[in-house]
Amino acid sequence: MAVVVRTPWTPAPDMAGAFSNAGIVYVLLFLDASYPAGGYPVSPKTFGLGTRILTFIPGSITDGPYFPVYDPTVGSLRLLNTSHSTAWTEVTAGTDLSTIQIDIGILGW
Amino acid sequence: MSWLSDSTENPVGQVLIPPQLRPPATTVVLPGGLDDTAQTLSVVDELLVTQLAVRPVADAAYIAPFWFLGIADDGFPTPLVYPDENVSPATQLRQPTMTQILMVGISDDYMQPIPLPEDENPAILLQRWQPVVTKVMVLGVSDDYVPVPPVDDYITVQAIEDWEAQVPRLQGSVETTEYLPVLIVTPPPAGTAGGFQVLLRGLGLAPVQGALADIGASSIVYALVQFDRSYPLGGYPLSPKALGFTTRALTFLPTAQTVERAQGYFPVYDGVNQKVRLFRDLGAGRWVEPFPGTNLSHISMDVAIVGY
Repeated sequence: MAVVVRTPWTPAPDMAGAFSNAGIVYVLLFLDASYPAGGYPVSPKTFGLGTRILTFIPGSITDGPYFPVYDPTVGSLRLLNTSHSTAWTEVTAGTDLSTIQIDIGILGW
Repeated sequence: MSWLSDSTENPVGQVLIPPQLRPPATTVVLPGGLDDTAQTLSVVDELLVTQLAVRPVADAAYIAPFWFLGIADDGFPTPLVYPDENVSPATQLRQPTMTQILMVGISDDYMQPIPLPEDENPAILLQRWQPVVTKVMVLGVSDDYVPVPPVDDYITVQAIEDWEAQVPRLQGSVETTEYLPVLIVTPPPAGTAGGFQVLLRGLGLAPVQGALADIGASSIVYALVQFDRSYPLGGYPLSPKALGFTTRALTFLPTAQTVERAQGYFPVYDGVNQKVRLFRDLGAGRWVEPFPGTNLSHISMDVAIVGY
Protein backbone atom coordinates (compact mmCIF):
# COMPACT_ATOMS: atom_id res chain seq x y z
CA MET A 1 0.00 0.00 0.00
CA ALA A 2 2.03 2.85 -1.23
CA VAL A 3 1.89 5.73 -3.50
CA VAL A 4 4.85 6.82 -5.59
CA VAL A 5 5.40 10.52 -6.07
CA ARG A 6 7.75 11.87 -8.66
CA THR A 7 8.64 15.45 -8.12
CA PRO A 8 10.03 17.71 -9.47
CA TRP A 9 7.91 16.77 -12.40
CA THR A 10 7.25 18.48 -15.70
CA PRO A 11 3.48 18.60 -15.91
CA ALA A 12 1.34 18.17 -18.95
CA PRO A 13 1.26 21.29 -21.09
CA ASP A 14 -2.32 22.08 -20.21
CA MET A 15 -1.58 22.30 -16.52
CA ALA A 16 1.29 24.63 -15.98
CA GLY A 17 1.49 28.28 -16.61
CA ALA A 18 -1.96 29.48 -15.88
CA PHE A 19 -1.81 28.58 -12.23
CA SER A 20 0.66 31.34 -11.57
CA ASN A 21 -2.02 33.84 -12.44
CA ALA A 22 -4.38 32.50 -9.86
CA GLY A 23 -6.00 34.73 -7.34
CA ILE A 24 -7.86 33.86 -4.22
CA VAL A 25 -11.18 34.91 -2.83
CA TYR A 26 -12.49 34.09 0.58
CA VAL A 27 -16.11 33.30 0.98
CA LEU A 28 -18.53 32.06 3.52
CA LEU A 29 -20.95 29.53 2.14
CA PHE A 30 -24.40 29.04 3.53
CA LEU A 31 -25.85 25.77 2.40
CA ASP A 32 -29.46 24.90 1.94
CA ALA A 33 -32.00 22.39 3.09
CA SER A 34 -31.51 19.86 0.32
CA TYR A 35 -28.13 18.82 -1.01
CA PRO A 36 -28.53 18.25 -4.74
CA ALA A 37 -27.28 15.12 -6.46
CA GLY A 38 -23.85 15.82 -7.85
CA GLY A 39 -23.31 18.83 -5.67
CA TYR A 40 -24.17 22.49 -5.93
CA PRO A 41 -23.57 23.92 -9.40
CA VAL A 42 -21.12 26.78 -9.20
CA SER A 43 -19.44 29.03 -11.69
CA PRO A 44 -16.54 31.42 -11.38
CA LYS A 45 -18.98 34.28 -11.17
CA THR A 46 -20.54 32.69 -8.15
CA PHE A 47 -17.43 33.69 -6.29
CA GLY A 48 -16.56 36.88 -8.05
CA LEU A 49 -14.02 35.24 -10.33
CA GLY A 50 -14.02 35.80 -14.03
CA THR A 51 -13.09 32.67 -15.84
CA ARG A 52 -12.14 29.65 -13.88
CA ILE A 53 -12.26 28.00 -10.50
CA LEU A 54 -9.20 25.96 -9.68
CA THR A 55 -9.80 24.53 -6.28
CA PHE A 56 -11.25 25.06 -2.85
CA ILE A 57 -9.16 25.34 0.28
CA PRO A 58 -11.34 24.59 3.27
CA GLY A 59 -11.02 26.73 6.34
CA SER A 60 -13.47 25.98 9.09
CA ILE A 61 -16.85 24.38 8.90
CA THR A 62 -19.61 24.81 11.43
CA ASP A 63 -21.79 22.06 12.63
CA GLY A 64 -20.82 19.12 10.56
CA PRO A 65 -18.10 16.77 9.44
CA TYR A 66 -17.94 17.96 5.86
CA PHE A 67 -15.18 18.62 3.40
CA PRO A 68 -15.84 20.80 0.34
CA VAL A 69 -14.34 19.88 -2.99
CA TYR A 70 -14.61 21.59 -6.34
CA ASP A 71 -15.39 19.13 -9.12
CA PRO A 72 -14.03 20.67 -12.33
CA THR A 73 -15.56 18.00 -14.53
CA VAL A 74 -19.10 19.18 -13.90
CA GLY A 75 -18.50 22.51 -12.19
CA SER A 76 -19.99 21.74 -8.84
CA LEU A 77 -19.30 22.08 -5.16
CA ARG A 78 -19.39 18.63 -3.68
CA LEU A 79 -19.38 17.91 0.00
CA LEU A 80 -17.73 14.85 1.41
CA ASN A 81 -18.89 13.44 4.69
CA THR A 82 -15.87 12.88 6.86
CA SER A 83 -17.64 11.51 9.89
CA HIS A 84 -15.91 8.21 9.34
CA SER A 85 -12.20 8.63 9.52
CA THR A 86 -11.80 5.65 7.25
CA ALA A 87 -13.84 5.88 4.08
CA TRP A 88 -15.40 9.18 3.14
CA THR A 89 -18.51 9.43 1.04
CA GLU A 90 -20.29 12.25 -0.67
CA VAL A 91 -23.29 13.67 1.12
CA THR A 92 -26.51 11.97 0.17
CA ALA A 93 -28.83 13.95 -2.07
CA GLY A 94 -31.55 15.66 -0.09
CA THR A 95 -29.54 16.09 3.09
CA ASP A 96 -30.50 19.19 5.05
CA LEU A 97 -27.38 21.34 5.30
CA SER A 98 -29.07 24.59 6.20
CA THR A 99 -27.20 24.90 9.46
CA ILE A 100 -23.84 24.57 7.79
CA GLN A 101 -21.48 27.41 7.09
CA ILE A 102 -18.22 26.81 5.33
CA ASP A 103 -15.33 29.18 5.54
CA ILE A 104 -13.33 28.67 2.41
CA GLY A 105 -10.67 30.05 0.14
CA ILE A 106 -11.13 29.65 -3.58
CA LEU A 107 -8.30 29.72 -6.05
CA GLY A 108 -9.06 30.80 -9.55
CA TRP A 109 -9.08 33.73 -11.85
CA MET B 1 2.59 32.88 -6.35
CA SER B 2 0.81 36.06 -7.10
CA TRP B 3 -2.40 35.40 -5.34
CA LEU B 4 -1.71 36.98 -2.05
CA SER B 5 0.25 39.92 -0.98
CA ASP B 6 -0.02 41.58 2.33
CA SER B 7 0.47 44.87 0.64
CA THR B 8 -2.37 44.35 -1.73
CA GLU B 9 -4.87 47.08 -1.41
CA ASN B 10 -8.51 46.51 -1.43
CA PRO B 11 -10.25 46.93 -4.73
CA VAL B 12 -12.48 49.87 -4.87
CA GLY B 13 -16.15 49.73 -4.53
CA GLN B 14 -16.84 46.33 -3.14
CA VAL B 15 -20.54 46.03 -2.71
CA LEU B 16 -22.39 43.19 -1.16
CA ILE B 17 -25.99 42.75 -1.92
CA PRO B 18 -27.92 40.43 0.31
CA PRO B 19 -28.14 37.61 0.09
CA GLN B 20 -25.86 37.02 -2.84
CA LEU B 21 -22.39 37.89 -3.85
CA ARG B 22 -21.90 40.70 -6.26
CA PRO B 23 -18.72 41.56 -8.09
CA PRO B 24 -16.69 44.54 -7.01
CA ALA B 25 -16.56 47.98 -8.46
CA THR B 26 -20.18 48.73 -8.93
CA THR B 27 -20.11 52.23 -10.21
CA VAL B 28 -22.63 54.81 -11.06
CA VAL B 29 -21.93 57.64 -13.40
CA LEU B 30 -23.21 60.96 -12.33
CA PRO B 31 -23.29 64.07 -14.42
CA GLY B 32 -21.77 67.06 -12.79
CA GLY B 33 -19.31 67.50 -10.02
CA LEU B 34 -21.59 67.24 -7.07
CA ASP B 35 -18.94 66.06 -4.74
CA ASP B 36 -15.92 68.09 -5.57
CA THR B 37 -14.26 69.71 -2.68
CA ALA B 38 -10.87 71.19 -2.40
CA GLN B 39 -9.36 69.11 0.31
CA THR B 40 -9.48 65.70 -1.15
CA LEU B 41 -8.69 63.90 -4.28
CA SER B 42 -10.24 65.18 -7.39
CA VAL B 43 -13.54 63.61 -7.93
CA VAL B 44 -14.08 61.65 -11.00
CA ASP B 45 -17.36 61.27 -12.65
CA GLU B 46 -17.91 57.88 -11.28
CA LEU B 47 -19.21 57.43 -7.85
CA LEU B 48 -19.35 54.25 -5.97
CA VAL B 49 -22.32 52.60 -4.56
CA THR B 50 -21.46 52.81 -0.93
CA GLN B 51 -24.49 51.66 0.86
CA LEU B 52 -27.15 49.16 0.41
CA ALA B 53 -29.86 48.83 2.89
CA VAL B 54 -33.32 47.58 3.14
CA ARG B 55 -36.32 49.53 4.05
CA PRO B 56 -39.53 48.32 5.48
CA VAL B 57 -42.91 48.96 4.05
CA ALA B 58 -46.22 48.82 5.78
CA ASP B 59 -46.16 45.10 6.22
CA ALA B 60 -43.06 44.29 8.22
CA ALA B 61 -42.81 40.98 6.49
CA TYR B 62 -41.89 42.75 3.31
CA ILE B 63 -38.67 44.51 2.80
CA ALA B 64 -37.78 46.48 -0.23
CA PRO B 65 -34.15 46.93 -1.12
CA PHE B 66 -33.02 50.33 -2.12
CA TRP B 67 -29.80 51.99 -2.96
CA PHE B 68 -27.87 54.66 -1.30
CA LEU B 69 -25.18 56.28 -3.31
CA GLY B 70 -22.36 57.82 -1.40
CA ILE B 71 -20.47 60.73 -2.67
CA ALA B 72 -16.78 60.31 -2.36
CA ASP B 73 -15.79 63.11 -0.12
CA ASP B 74 -19.02 64.35 1.23
CA GLY B 75 -19.47 64.29 4.91
CA PHE B 76 -22.37 61.95 4.56
CA PRO B 77 -23.70 59.66 1.91
CA THR B 78 -26.20 61.40 -0.16
CA PRO B 79 -29.21 59.48 -1.24
CA LEU B 80 -29.09 60.00 -4.92
CA VAL B 81 -31.39 57.33 -6.12
CA TYR B 82 -34.41 55.96 -4.54
CA PRO B 83 -36.08 53.18 -6.35
CA ASP B 84 -39.71 53.46 -6.84
CA GLU B 85 -41.20 53.93 -3.44
CA ASN B 86 -44.55 52.99 -4.71
CA VAL B 87 -43.64 49.45 -5.54
CA SER B 88 -46.39 47.19 -4.42
CA PRO B 89 -45.50 44.70 -1.72
CA ALA B 90 -46.27 41.89 -4.08
CA THR B 91 -43.22 42.70 -6.11
CA GLN B 92 -40.90 43.30 -3.25
CA LEU B 93 -38.41 41.04 -1.70
CA ARG B 94 -40.01 38.93 0.89
CA GLN B 95 -37.97 38.10 3.92
CA PRO B 96 -39.25 36.07 6.82
CA THR B 97 -37.12 38.14 9.11
CA MET B 98 -34.59 40.83 8.76
CA THR B 99 -31.67 38.68 7.84
CA GLN B 100 -29.02 40.96 6.55
CA ILE B 101 -27.95 44.51 6.89
CA LEU B 102 -25.09 45.96 5.03
CA MET B 103 -23.40 49.24 5.00
CA VAL B 104 -20.06 49.78 3.44
CA GLY B 105 -17.66 52.61 3.58
CA ILE B 106 -17.59 55.74 1.67
CA SER B 107 -15.29 55.37 -1.23
CA ASP B 108 -12.30 57.46 -0.36
CA ASP B 109 -13.00 58.74 3.06
CA TYR B 110 -10.34 57.95 5.56
CA MET B 111 -11.90 55.80 8.20
CA GLN B 112 -14.97 57.85 8.39
CA PRO B 113 -17.68 56.28 10.41
CA ILE B 114 -20.71 55.79 8.34
CA PRO B 115 -22.96 58.66 9.16
CA LEU B 116 -26.52 57.95 9.75
CA PRO B 117 -28.91 59.16 7.17
CA GLU B 118 -30.92 60.70 9.92
CA ASP B 119 -32.75 63.16 7.91
CA GLU B 120 -33.38 60.89 5.02
CA ASN B 121 -34.70 57.62 6.21
CA PRO B 122 -34.78 56.96 9.91
CA ALA B 123 -36.58 53.74 9.20
CA ILE B 124 -33.25 52.21 8.37
CA LEU B 125 -32.31 52.38 11.98
CA LEU B 126 -35.24 50.28 12.91
CA GLN B 127 -33.90 47.54 10.77
CA ARG B 128 -30.79 47.19 12.83
CA TRP B 129 -32.71 44.91 15.08
CA GLN B 130 -31.34 41.41 14.90
CA PRO B 131 -32.92 38.56 16.77
CA VAL B 132 -29.98 36.22 16.45
CA VAL B 133 -26.69 37.72 15.48
CA THR B 134 -24.33 34.98 14.62
CA LYS B 135 -21.57 36.70 12.81
CA VAL B 136 -20.20 40.15 12.61
CA MET B 137 -17.90 41.09 9.84
CA VAL B 138 -15.93 44.22 9.51
CA LEU B 139 -15.81 45.71 6.10
CA GLY B 140 -12.90 47.83 5.13
CA VAL B 141 -13.49 51.10 3.53
CA SER B 142 -13.01 50.60 -0.10
CA ASP B 143 -9.94 52.52 -1.09
CA ASP B 144 -8.51 53.80 2.11
CA TYR B 145 -4.84 54.43 1.83
CA VAL B 146 -3.96 53.08 5.22
CA PRO B 147 -4.11 49.36 5.66
CA VAL B 148 -7.58 48.21 6.26
CA PRO B 149 -7.99 45.35 8.65
CA PRO B 150 -8.59 42.16 6.82
CA VAL B 151 -12.13 41.07 6.81
CA ASP B 152 -12.45 37.93 8.73
CA ASP B 153 -13.74 36.42 11.89
CA TYR B 154 -10.70 37.11 13.94
CA ILE B 155 -10.82 40.78 14.49
CA THR B 156 -11.87 41.64 17.97
CA VAL B 157 -14.74 43.98 17.79
CA GLN B 158 -15.09 45.77 21.06
CA ALA B 159 -18.46 47.21 20.44
CA ILE B 160 -20.87 48.06 17.76
CA GLU B 161 -22.63 51.31 17.98
CA ASP B 162 -24.98 52.39 15.35
CA TRP B 163 -23.34 51.42 12.11
CA GLU B 164 -19.78 51.19 13.14
CA ALA B 165 -17.58 48.73 14.91
CA GLN B 166 -14.88 49.74 17.30
CA VAL B 167 -11.86 47.72 16.42
CA PRO B 168 -8.67 47.86 18.45
CA ARG B 169 -5.59 47.93 16.31
CA LEU B 170 -1.89 48.17 16.87
CA GLN B 171 -0.08 50.33 14.39
CA GLY B 172 3.58 50.11 15.23
CA SER B 173 3.62 50.58 18.97
CA VAL B 174 0.58 52.78 19.03
CA GLU B 175 -2.69 51.33 20.10
CA THR B 176 -5.61 52.85 18.38
CA THR B 177 -9.25 52.23 17.99
CA GLU B 178 -10.71 52.41 14.57
CA TYR B 179 -14.27 52.70 13.58
CA LEU B 180 -15.45 50.61 10.75
CA PRO B 181 -18.75 49.94 9.14
CA VAL B 182 -20.19 46.59 9.92
CA LEU B 183 -22.07 43.86 8.23
CA ILE B 184 -24.35 41.79 10.33
CA VAL B 185 -25.45 38.47 8.98
CA THR B 186 -27.79 35.90 10.28
CA PRO B 187 -28.02 32.56 8.59
CA PRO B 188 -31.05 31.75 6.51
CA PRO B 189 -33.74 30.03 8.52
CA ALA B 190 -33.55 26.28 8.28
CA GLY B 191 -35.66 24.95 5.49
CA THR B 192 -36.25 28.27 3.81
CA ALA B 193 -33.10 28.82 1.84
CA GLY B 194 -33.21 27.97 -1.80
CA GLY B 195 -29.80 26.91 -3.05
CA PHE B 196 -26.73 27.88 -1.23
CA GLN B 197 -25.65 31.39 -0.56
CA VAL B 198 -22.29 32.96 -0.88
CA LEU B 199 -20.97 35.80 1.13
CA LEU B 200 -17.84 37.26 -0.29
CA ARG B 201 -15.55 37.71 2.62
CA GLY B 202 -13.39 40.70 2.66
CA LEU B 203 -12.67 42.98 -0.15
CA GLY B 204 -11.37 40.75 -2.83
CA LEU B 205 -7.70 40.45 -2.26
CA ALA B 206 -7.66 41.64 1.30
CA PRO B 207 -5.42 39.38 3.32
CA VAL B 208 -7.17 37.14 5.72
CA GLN B 209 -5.96 36.12 9.12
CA GLY B 210 -6.57 32.89 10.88
CA ALA B 211 -7.09 29.46 9.47
CA LEU B 212 -6.72 30.49 5.87
CA ALA B 213 -3.97 33.01 6.29
CA ASP B 214 -1.26 30.48 5.61
CA ILE B 215 -2.27 30.22 2.02
CA GLY B 216 -0.31 33.35 1.35
CA ALA B 217 2.95 31.51 1.88
CA SER B 218 2.07 28.64 -0.36
CA SER B 219 3.52 27.50 -3.62
CA ILE B 220 2.74 24.91 -6.24
CA VAL B 221 4.45 21.61 -6.75
CA TYR B 222 3.88 19.52 -9.84
CA ALA B 223 4.01 15.81 -9.31
CA LEU B 224 3.30 12.53 -10.96
CA VAL B 225 1.50 10.32 -8.50
CA GLN B 226 1.33 6.60 -9.17
CA PHE B 227 -0.83 4.27 -7.15
CA ASP B 228 -0.44 0.64 -6.29
CA ARG B 229 -2.37 -2.59 -6.41
CA SER B 230 -4.27 -2.17 -3.20
CA TYR B 231 -6.05 1.02 -2.19
CA PRO B 232 -5.68 1.32 1.58
CA LEU B 233 -8.60 2.06 3.85
CA GLY B 234 -8.76 5.83 4.26
CA GLY B 235 -6.36 6.63 1.45
CA TYR B 236 -2.65 6.58 0.81
CA PRO B 237 -0.40 8.20 3.40
CA LEU B 238 1.24 11.18 1.79
CA SER B 239 3.21 13.61 3.87
CA PRO B 240 3.93 17.19 2.87
CA LYS B 241 7.62 16.35 2.74
CA ALA B 242 6.98 13.66 0.17
CA LEU B 243 5.63 16.42 -2.03
CA GLY B 244 8.51 18.75 -1.39
CA PHE B 245 6.78 20.95 1.16
CA THR B 246 8.18 21.65 4.58
CA THR B 247 5.01 22.12 6.58
CA ARG B 248 1.68 21.51 5.01
CA ALA B 249 0.06 20.32 1.84
CA LEU B 250 -3.17 22.19 1.28
CA THR B 251 -4.95 20.85 -1.73
CA PHE B 252 -4.63 19.31 -5.13
CA LEU B 253 -5.30 21.36 -8.21
CA PRO B 254 -6.90 18.73 -10.39
CA THR B 255 -8.27 19.80 -13.71
CA ALA B 256 -10.93 18.07 -15.73
CA GLN B 257 -8.13 16.70 -17.88
CA THR B 258 -6.37 15.37 -14.82
CA VAL B 259 -9.44 13.44 -13.84
CA GLU B 260 -10.03 12.19 -17.35
CA ARG B 261 -6.46 10.93 -17.65
CA ALA B 262 -6.82 9.23 -14.29
CA GLN B 263 -9.85 7.34 -15.54
CA GLY B 264 -12.29 9.34 -13.55
CA TYR B 265 -10.50 9.30 -10.23
CA PHE B 266 -10.41 12.60 -8.41
CA PRO B 267 -7.71 13.25 -5.78
CA VAL B 268 -8.53 14.88 -2.46
CA TYR B 269 -5.84 15.74 0.03
CA ASP B 270 -6.86 14.92 3.58
CA GLY B 271 -4.65 17.32 5.48
CA VAL B 272 -5.71 16.11 8.90
CA ASN B 273 -4.58 12.56 8.28
CA GLN B 274 -2.01 13.50 5.64
CA LYS B 275 -3.44 11.17 3.08
CA VAL B 276 -4.47 11.31 -0.51
CA ARG B 277 -7.93 9.95 -1.02
CA LEU B 278 -9.44 9.14 -4.36
CA PHE B 279 -13.04 9.49 -5.39
CA ARG B 280 -14.98 8.45 -8.42
CA ASP B 281 -18.52 8.66 -9.63
CA LEU B 282 -19.63 5.11 -10.24
CA GLY B 283 -22.61 6.21 -12.28
CA ALA B 284 -25.07 7.36 -9.68
CA GLY B 285 -23.74 10.89 -9.61
CA ARG B 286 -22.31 10.46 -6.16
CA TRP B 287 -18.64 10.24 -5.38
CA VAL B 288 -17.43 7.25 -3.49
CA GLU B 289 -14.01 6.28 -2.25
CA PRO B 290 -12.58 3.04 -3.63
CA PHE B 291 -13.00 -0.09 -1.63
CA PRO B 292 -9.90 -1.09 0.29
CA GLY B 293 -7.85 -3.41 -1.84
CA THR B 294 -8.89 -1.91 -5.17
CA ASN B 295 -6.13 -2.29 -7.73
CA LEU B 296 -5.13 1.18 -8.90
CA SER B 297 -1.75 0.31 -10.31
CA HIS B 298 -2.90 1.37 -13.75
CA ILE B 299 -3.64 4.88 -12.50
CA SER B 300 -1.14 7.68 -12.55
CA MET B 301 -2.02 11.24 -11.87
CA ASP B 302 -0.33 14.28 -13.31
CA VAL B 303 -1.32 16.89 -10.83
CA ALA B 304 -0.41 20.14 -9.14
CA ILE B 305 -0.48 20.54 -5.38
CA VAL B 306 -0.60 23.67 -3.30
CA GLY B 307 1.28 23.77 -0.03
CA TYR B 308 4.14 25.29 1.82
